[in-house]
Amino acid sequence: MPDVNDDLVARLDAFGARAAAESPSLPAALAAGVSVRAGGSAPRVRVPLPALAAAAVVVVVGGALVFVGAPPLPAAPEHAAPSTGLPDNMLAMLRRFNKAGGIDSAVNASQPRAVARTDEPVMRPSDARAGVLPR
Amino acid sequence: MHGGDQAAARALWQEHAGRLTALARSLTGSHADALDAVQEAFVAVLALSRTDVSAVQDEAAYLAQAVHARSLNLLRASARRAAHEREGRSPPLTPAPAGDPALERALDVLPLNAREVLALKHLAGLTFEQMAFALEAPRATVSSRYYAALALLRGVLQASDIPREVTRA
Repeated sequence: MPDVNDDLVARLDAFGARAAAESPSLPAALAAGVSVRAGGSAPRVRVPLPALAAAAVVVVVGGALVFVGAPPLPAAPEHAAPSTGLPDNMLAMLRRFNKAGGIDSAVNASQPRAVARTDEPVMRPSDARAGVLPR
Repeated sequence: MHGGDQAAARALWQEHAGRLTALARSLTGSHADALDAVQEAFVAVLALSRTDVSAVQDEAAYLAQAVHARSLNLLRASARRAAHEREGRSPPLTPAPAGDPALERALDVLPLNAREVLALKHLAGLTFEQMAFALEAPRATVSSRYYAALALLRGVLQASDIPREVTRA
């Protein structure tokens, strides 16, 4: 089991801490839609009807434009060149990992395997039938 | 968040939105999709009945589960990303927090089931028990997957020669 003080774990924790610090602002719709009820019933998100109607128009018009004007998407090539510019050795390692069965295979490989103990008494079926106890 | 308390809703957002957005971004590979997933999860939580809200024992795990599920739905809904998944890679992240681009890039290329356990642990900040709840899997399974994913990430980082630290522009 890896050391919990591992440098990589610390890097991941630092990464998470930065993410936590970069909290996005509360969306205006969410803030405005949270109703405050003195009686304490469940909060609801309210969207004004005019806004809903406007959104519907935008969706319909936008959808029609996309339907009419959008060119067909190019089919993804079967073996596309790496678009992320990753080093070849990193990609090769990931391919080997996936080819070897992925993470579940890696997990299974890391589990301790049950090993038959040779010092345990062996009871043969005939002994069991005859009521003979193992020595 | 109980009883329609707007201040509580704001506090909930302040406390969890950053980590949950990072979690969703790691899963979807898109900042916009991540914001959508987090907002949808919060809307769903805010719409819970009083009884349902009181049944939530661990808000961090509950929210992480909701964001995780919505992120995967968004991911599956995108044909473009599905093509990337078939190739065993994820799309590049769009705008990402500065600080450790090498780590982020390495996370980005991990298989989804490896990335999600690392993201739940370190981005969402969950314990193994909370991760087990969010993934609806036994704790031992989640723990094993986490350590396997950690080993894979280490291997990916060692295999790459990406500079570790880049200061924010």
